[in-house]
Amino acid sequence: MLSTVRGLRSGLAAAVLPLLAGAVACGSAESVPPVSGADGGGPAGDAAAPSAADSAGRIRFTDRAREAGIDFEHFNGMSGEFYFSEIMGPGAALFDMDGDGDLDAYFIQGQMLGPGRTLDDALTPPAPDAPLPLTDRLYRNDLEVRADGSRTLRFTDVTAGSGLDVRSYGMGVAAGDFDNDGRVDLYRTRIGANQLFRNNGDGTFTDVTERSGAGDGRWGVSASFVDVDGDGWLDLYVGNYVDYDLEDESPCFAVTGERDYCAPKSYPAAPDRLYRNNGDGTFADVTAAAGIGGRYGPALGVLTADFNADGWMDVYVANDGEPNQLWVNRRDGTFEDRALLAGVALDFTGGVEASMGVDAGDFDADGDDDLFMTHVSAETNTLYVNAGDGFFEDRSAMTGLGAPSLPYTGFGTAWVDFDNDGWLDLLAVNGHVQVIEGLAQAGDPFPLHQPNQVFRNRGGGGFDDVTGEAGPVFELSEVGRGAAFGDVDNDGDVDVLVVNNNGPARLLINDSGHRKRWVGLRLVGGRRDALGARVGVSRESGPVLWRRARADGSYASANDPRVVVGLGTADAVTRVRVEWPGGRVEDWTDVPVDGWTTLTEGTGRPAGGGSE
Amino acid sequence: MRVRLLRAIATGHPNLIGHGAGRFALGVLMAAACTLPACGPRGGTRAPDLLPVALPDLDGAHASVRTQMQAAQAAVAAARDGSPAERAAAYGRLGLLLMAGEYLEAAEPSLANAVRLLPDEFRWTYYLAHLYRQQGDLAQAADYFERAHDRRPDDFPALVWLVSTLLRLGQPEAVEPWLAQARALRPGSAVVRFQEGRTAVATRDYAGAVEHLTAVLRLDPNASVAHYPLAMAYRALGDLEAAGYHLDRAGGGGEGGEGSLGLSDPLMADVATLLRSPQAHRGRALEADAVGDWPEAARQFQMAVELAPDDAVLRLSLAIAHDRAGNPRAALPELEAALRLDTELTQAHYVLGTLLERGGRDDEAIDRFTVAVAQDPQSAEAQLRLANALRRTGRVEDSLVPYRRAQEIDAGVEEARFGEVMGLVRLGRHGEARARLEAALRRRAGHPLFATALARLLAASPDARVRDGRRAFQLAEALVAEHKTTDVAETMAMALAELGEFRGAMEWQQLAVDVANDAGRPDLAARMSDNLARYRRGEPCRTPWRDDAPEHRPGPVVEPGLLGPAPER
Repeated sequence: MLSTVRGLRSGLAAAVLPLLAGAVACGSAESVPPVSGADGGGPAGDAAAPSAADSAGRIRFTDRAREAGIDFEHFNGMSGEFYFSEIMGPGAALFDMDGDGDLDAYFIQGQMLGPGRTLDDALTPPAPDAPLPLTDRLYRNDLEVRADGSRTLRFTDVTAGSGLDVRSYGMGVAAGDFDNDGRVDLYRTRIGANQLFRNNGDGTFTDVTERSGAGDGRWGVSASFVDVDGDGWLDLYVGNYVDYDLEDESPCFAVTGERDYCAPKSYPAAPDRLYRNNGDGTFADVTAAAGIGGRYGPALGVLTADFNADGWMDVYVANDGEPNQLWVNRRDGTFEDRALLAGVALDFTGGVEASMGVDAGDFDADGDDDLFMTHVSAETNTLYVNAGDGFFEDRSAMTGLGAPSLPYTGFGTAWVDFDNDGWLDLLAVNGHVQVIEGLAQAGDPFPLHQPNQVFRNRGGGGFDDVTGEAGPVFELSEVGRGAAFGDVDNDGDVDVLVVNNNGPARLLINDSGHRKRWVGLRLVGGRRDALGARVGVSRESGPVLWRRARADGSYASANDPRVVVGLGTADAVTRVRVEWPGGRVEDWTDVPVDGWTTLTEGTGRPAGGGSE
Repeated sequence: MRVRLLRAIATGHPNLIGHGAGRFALGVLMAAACTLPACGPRGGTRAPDLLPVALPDLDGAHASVRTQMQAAQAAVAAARDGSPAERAAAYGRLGLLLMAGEYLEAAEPSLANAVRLLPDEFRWTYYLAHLYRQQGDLAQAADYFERAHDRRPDDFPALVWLVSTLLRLGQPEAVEPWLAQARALRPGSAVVRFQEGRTAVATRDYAGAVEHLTAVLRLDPNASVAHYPLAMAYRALGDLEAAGYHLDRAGGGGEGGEGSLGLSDPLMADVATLLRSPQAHRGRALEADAVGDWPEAARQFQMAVELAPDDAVLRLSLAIAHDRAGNPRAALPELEAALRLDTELTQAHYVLGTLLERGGRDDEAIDRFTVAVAQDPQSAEAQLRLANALRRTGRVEDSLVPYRRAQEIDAGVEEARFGEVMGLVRLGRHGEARARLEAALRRRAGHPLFATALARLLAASPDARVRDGRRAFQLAEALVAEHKTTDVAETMAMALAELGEFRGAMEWQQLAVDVANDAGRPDLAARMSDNLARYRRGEPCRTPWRDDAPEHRPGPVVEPGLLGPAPER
């Protein structure tokens, strides 16, 4: 039955994909017939080529970065001086640069570090064929979907002339349409003045930092575009790490006297920034007025969501070795940190943790978002389960997520239903921050690398570490940092763009999720993605599947704001409800499965309001 | 803490590992072990199979670490023909050294051999359990803690760690038998009640958690580690007030929080003090410092300095610890040595300056502070110390620049603002002083230090253009409502005298004199009596602060002889 339906629908796919970015008719959902079911795949470059093993419902990925044309390799600029900054980047973005309905990729590059140092001083110089000078890289997705539903994933390096050929040492990136022109802009974090790039819509970007006033000069890592005041313009939260001056760096040593990277406690934390979008291309620094400037830690992860379901966006900040903050929006331009009482500042013992990446998702399908964050080794990754009343509970150990994470230092992460069974799974990108003795003894020039991990949701009650069966790419050991999540090949399951410190990017194509029914949704408010909107997908049976449209979270990276909802054993959806930022709630009942649909605010049927 | 991990051991391709490769690699080593000279029977009964043991590459380690490790390795070789107990002790010692050096991967076979050689011995099994715990292998850790318990059922720390590890593994249902044994061993133990509380939280028995954790605080009111889980339990029960109360008092979380409950673990304490390296001693010194044990901090820093005599920062740390431990004389040579090693060590200049000024050697102190501000012009503290020392020694004009600089760097340094004012007063520039005080009060309305100073200046300045008796009285009236001090009383008397209200002035001044006498400060009373006599004569005061007033002598209390005699300059 399934294959028959797919066969009928797949032929329309190529013709309608471009509609993803277009306007929609009033009163109904703009549907794109399904594009999944690439059963005939196989040759290099063809995405979604399943194997027999996939049909067992396993989560499985294949690294297709190289064959798809992504040859980005991060360079961290290390010269043996153990500069703290060299191990913290990079991030990456998956975003639809050109509005053609598929995700393009932006990579943050490093540079040589240290006064007077050149590439000749590098411990691990760039590959001989690496493009020089080193710059950030922009790749356009030229995804081709054929009439039979098979597809070829191809990226083209379009850095030259794009305006994104930036030559400073970068850290991370946030994506969002700050000027409401329908084109996704980029905010690039770094040590020193961050940069805001306006998307010109023709494949080029203009650095508008100076005019915008958003070029914070501290060490930024993760940032988020979020409309905190409900005026329809995306404001900007910038998570800053520590007060760091490379030229003042003092050496740090292990207990045995061996040189090692310093811990973040060696430096004072740097305060975060909140910029209010003035709606005219400029931002105002409202950090102090918002009440945010007085309490801060070394921020690495930033996530925005309406945690207390009052229609106003809140901000969660993951700090490295200091209590995390939950900035609850007081709806008057100010915020209050409620993390401690909410139970998301510390772990279950009351201890601080070295938090890195973070995401929120409804893993137990009870209608509220739960928090997951990655931590340094010897600390568990932490799952804070939302009790539905604004209070959270650390259930890391009880759900099986604690112990398997202890040996690893996690960075990029996200809640994603990788196998489309209706339950959110987890992926953690790992790489340590201090010398791993076993690797150093083996003569490894950069002994921080660790394998990544995947955890499959058992149905809301716990997780299984399924890393061992997730594909050969999970046998790699690399210094993972950023991870951007999105359906790169538009086949109905979420792929992962992993960026490694001082290593190659990996494009983890999901080989499993599209085997189950799914609904792909783009939520649009005004002319842009409605970041922060929640969507609940109802089926004949089973709990409502709540997901969020978001580009932030993870670590230093920007995600696909679209939503893929795996339907599990269901064949259809009975209703799609969207809770828009600002409080409007609308329903759609005619959303097809196995395809992409754009839902625009104001075109659905007004609902009674509230989540189920 | 640097964490050295076993799990990511490289095998084959340098960038490619098998999942769980560490375990696999260990299995291979075990199979091959008996081909190596470290093991094998030497006749008689069959000896256990032993794992090959090798030291890690110690090239980058401190010489003291290399020496210790190599000696321990040599002891293993020397014990080759010894009894199983002797061999186990040698392997165990090596394993513990490696563990202390955070070479966890290298430590594992050594400790495993010790266990194999003496399987009934509690100690090595217990250490191996801790090694697995530190590596993050909680399942193995729990297994070995249980084995350790089998070998010594009355060992309390082993039971506590077993429970703690099972809880971290998410197995609260498995802990009750062990908790029961722990209860039997130590009835009424705060540690046991704490574990019971944590177990109750894990199983969402919040009422039970409140009962247990409240009992912990009854048994040990300083058990800050109990407050956080107790707060979470109260919160779950809907008692947010109680939750907030305990959150305000929470502290000391993290793994091993039981240690703050007085859990004595002598075996692990031994490991913590085993390694000798400058960094290891420094770490122990900082731990001692954190709990206010300055003599121990000084002792550990001293040992670190002995191992790294050319480390200027260590000598500076030792000096600070000596001083805090009440031994400033010992601090002085360490600071001087630190500066011989590194003249750019700004903090050593600064600390030396503070020591010298306490010893009454102001000229030398000024030299140190001058260097400190030259090297770090952004240090508000150094600027302030320099300014105070200059003013104290009569170089008042010179003090104004660093006072102003300190305020520029940190507008919150009120002592610099006040110091500048007093410098201006001392120079007779009362108009400028008044303007500065007005600005300070605009910045911090009602600030008693500035309000009192301004009232005095307005009441008693010899410069008629500065005086304003009515305003002085208003300020003094506001002050006496809040601050019942001799200083304020004397200020009120000055204001009243300036207004011609000499009877009132005499009453306030008499009050100040009486309070000073009652407080055992006849010196102060005597100084204030001068003004009392003046008011009796119907004369207003024209000296807001006497030249010998403490306001004109900023800085620490001088302890003559603190540092011994000053050298010839």
